[in-house]
Amino acid sequence: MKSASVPDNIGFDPAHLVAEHQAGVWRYLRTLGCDSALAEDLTQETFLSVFQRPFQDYNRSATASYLRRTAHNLFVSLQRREGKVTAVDNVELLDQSWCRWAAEDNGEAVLAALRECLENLPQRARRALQLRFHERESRAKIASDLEITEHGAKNLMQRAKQKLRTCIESKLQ
Amino acid sequence: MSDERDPILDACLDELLGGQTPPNLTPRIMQAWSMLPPSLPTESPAAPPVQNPIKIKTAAKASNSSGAAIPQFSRLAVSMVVAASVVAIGLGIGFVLRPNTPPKTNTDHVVQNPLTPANDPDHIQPPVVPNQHDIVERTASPPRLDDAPEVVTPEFPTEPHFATGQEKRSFDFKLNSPPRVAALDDAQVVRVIDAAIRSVWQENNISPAPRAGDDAFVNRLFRQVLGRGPSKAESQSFVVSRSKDKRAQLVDDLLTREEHVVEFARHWSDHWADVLVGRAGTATANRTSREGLQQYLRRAFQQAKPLDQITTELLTATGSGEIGSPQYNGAANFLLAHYDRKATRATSQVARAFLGQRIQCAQCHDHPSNSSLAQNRFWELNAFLRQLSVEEGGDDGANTDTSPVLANRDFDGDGRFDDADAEVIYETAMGQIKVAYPALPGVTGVPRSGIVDEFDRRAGLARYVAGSQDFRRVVVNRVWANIFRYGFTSPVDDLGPHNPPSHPALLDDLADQFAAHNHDLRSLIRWMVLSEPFQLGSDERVDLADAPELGPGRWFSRAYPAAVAEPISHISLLAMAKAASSGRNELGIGTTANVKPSFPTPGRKTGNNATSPPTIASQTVRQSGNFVPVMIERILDGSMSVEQKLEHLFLVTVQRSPSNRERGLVKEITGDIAKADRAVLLRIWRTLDRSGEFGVER
Repeated sequence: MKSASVPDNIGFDPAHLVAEHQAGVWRYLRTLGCDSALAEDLTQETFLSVFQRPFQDYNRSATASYLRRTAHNLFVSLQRREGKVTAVDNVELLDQSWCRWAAEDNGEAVLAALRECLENLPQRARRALQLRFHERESRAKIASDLEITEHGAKNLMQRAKQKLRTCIESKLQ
Repeated sequence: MSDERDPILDACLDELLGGQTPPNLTPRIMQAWSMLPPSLPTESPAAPPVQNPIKIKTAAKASNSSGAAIPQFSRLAVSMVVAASVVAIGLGIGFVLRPNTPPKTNTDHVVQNPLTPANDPDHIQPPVVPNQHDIVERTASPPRLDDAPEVVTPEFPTEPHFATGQEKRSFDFKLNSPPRVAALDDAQVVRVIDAAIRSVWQENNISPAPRAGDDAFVNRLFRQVLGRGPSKAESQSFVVSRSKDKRAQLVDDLLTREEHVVEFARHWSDHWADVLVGRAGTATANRTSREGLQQYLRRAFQQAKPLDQITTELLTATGSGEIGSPQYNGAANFLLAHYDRKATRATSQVARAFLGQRIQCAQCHDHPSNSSLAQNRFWELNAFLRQLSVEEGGDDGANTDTSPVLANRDFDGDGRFDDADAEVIYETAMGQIKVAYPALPGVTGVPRSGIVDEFDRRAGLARYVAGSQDFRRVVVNRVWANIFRYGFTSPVDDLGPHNPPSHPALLDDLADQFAAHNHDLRSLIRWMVLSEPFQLGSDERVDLADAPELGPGRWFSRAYPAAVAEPISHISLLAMAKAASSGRNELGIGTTANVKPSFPTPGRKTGNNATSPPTIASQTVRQSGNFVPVMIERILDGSMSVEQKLEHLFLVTVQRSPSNRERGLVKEITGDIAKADRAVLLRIWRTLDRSGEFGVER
């Protein structure tokens, strides 16, 4: 299947390709452990690498998969050069999860589901995640803020994530 | 600070709660692309480098990274933009002035028009750099088998003469059908064989061995056609017969008489079961019932089913391979044996068994010596098998059978996005990700649908295979190897420009006649055993000009000795071990008089497989009495350890290392291998040497 807005008779359109896939590539790189800035750089490198090679836009899925793998290779190369450990070991598993959750729409549906699921979380759990992901607080700070132990804070966040996972999956089915 | 890490959820939470949303990178990427130098590497499949010459860094990264890239290239970039603009104007004028012709495409599935419509309001005009457009415009399809320059006359498969029954015509593809070769009668085909073989003898100045005596002929014929030696009565009645064409009559008897039909079917089903699932089983042997497969093959050979039909049934089988199962279908055992999640093993086995191509290496890279087998060829073939599914026994799902069931399921592509356009995604050795769809050499318009109801991919593959010249060639080569010990190529299932056959014209002629005679196995065997080379004796002298044991030359000027395979040497050693444990006179242990292993039972082949090389050692050094070749003397009297001596004795005598089973038997014979003396080793050698006698028909 060709990309919805790129009919066969138009052909290769790099700008459209970028517009259609950049969010997916960027989010995928974030899941690999890149920070926001590095994800931006590698997203750019990914498209430039693809543009420099013979390229066939078979369909949206294949192109997205190709871009993801290119992005992954760039990320791994960078990690190797900098002597870092790859943040995600089982890329195939991650890829499967990504395909299941986010491949078709660059992850928009997951985000929408997550937004709804967050609303249903208990106040304390939501607060813990807020501290962790919005205010970038350490676990110790989260624990003291919620007046629980560090271990309790960890458990609280783990349980919250599990609930979110379950909730998202039920919404995406 | 890490909780239980969930990469996707964490990234989503980061985005939702932390406000880190994906930026709009389109202008930045397009600008960077426009600044790339025009002389880009277009052919190298190397993994893309991270540090591109042109980088535009984010503000966050610019402070702590090599952000000096832009100044370094700014002048070049300006020049490039100016140059690109000039070229773009030129191209634009050319586009307006030229006739409105459709863009050229090399294949039906390549998107290639580099020009986007100017009237698209949402369109962002990409930078016009000629080299880049050239890169994009040319097809990225790797070379296909039918494009390969060395294939001078592409061979197109013909339509099968029977209905496959499962294909959906609405999603069909058309095979090119060349004119069929007229069927010759048996005598004519035999003359073709004789002429081809003789001409090679003349070219190579080879004198054929004398014609084999009747006793040797009857022995060999029974063994090769029925898998057993003749009884005394059968042998005598043949030898005493005075009929002029008694050999032809005996061949007809063995191939057509009712009392031999079962034996014939048993022998050849055993052979084909070896080819299809191997003697030792497979990694998924627990899914496979060799008995079930043999039963299916046995019935097929008894009914004289054509081999192309058998192949189609094997490739399209569904059901359980277990005898007695409600969904039993013995033919399912072939693909059950080689099933894995991505059907890679099944792909290799289908290509090897039915197309005579060893393409397993092309799973990861282009074939190193056969340029027509590029990596995409493997995955295009693999795409035909991706509807395969195995429902394990006892599942709660649709399979109510207790044994695994082979089934078809819709394949929605590795991208899991669209089963109407189901692609296979693979990675090249250099890290590039590519996509493959079902494709076959010389065939166009193969549907891409992964939906079984629309296009049964296995049925499509079976139709191609059953009608392909490759299939006929590999069958002919395999049967020839079974009759004559050696095929036209070695290995028999690796045909191609990298491995030319010894008699290419004969192989092709036989393949054509095989097809013209409805892929009839009995006809093929009849021609071979009636031909002149099969009438020849084994001839003890080894003419080095015709010694396939030593190299590629194989001119069929004599009957080649059989392999001294592990089963035979094992039987010999077992007899020796039993004699040793029973306390018999040591001098008698291992002599020919004591070691009388029977020939393998009917249906039990002597070779490990059809491609195992026979040994020359037993032929060249077999002597009567106490003769010991110099090489053996040197090994026995040398300074090596006993283990090493044993290893060398095996290598010299049967041209392989001892198996674990044989080591165990040697240990039984010697008590302690390390303490075995010269006499014991000498007797082990004699046993090994003479074990070869039982695999040789004279």
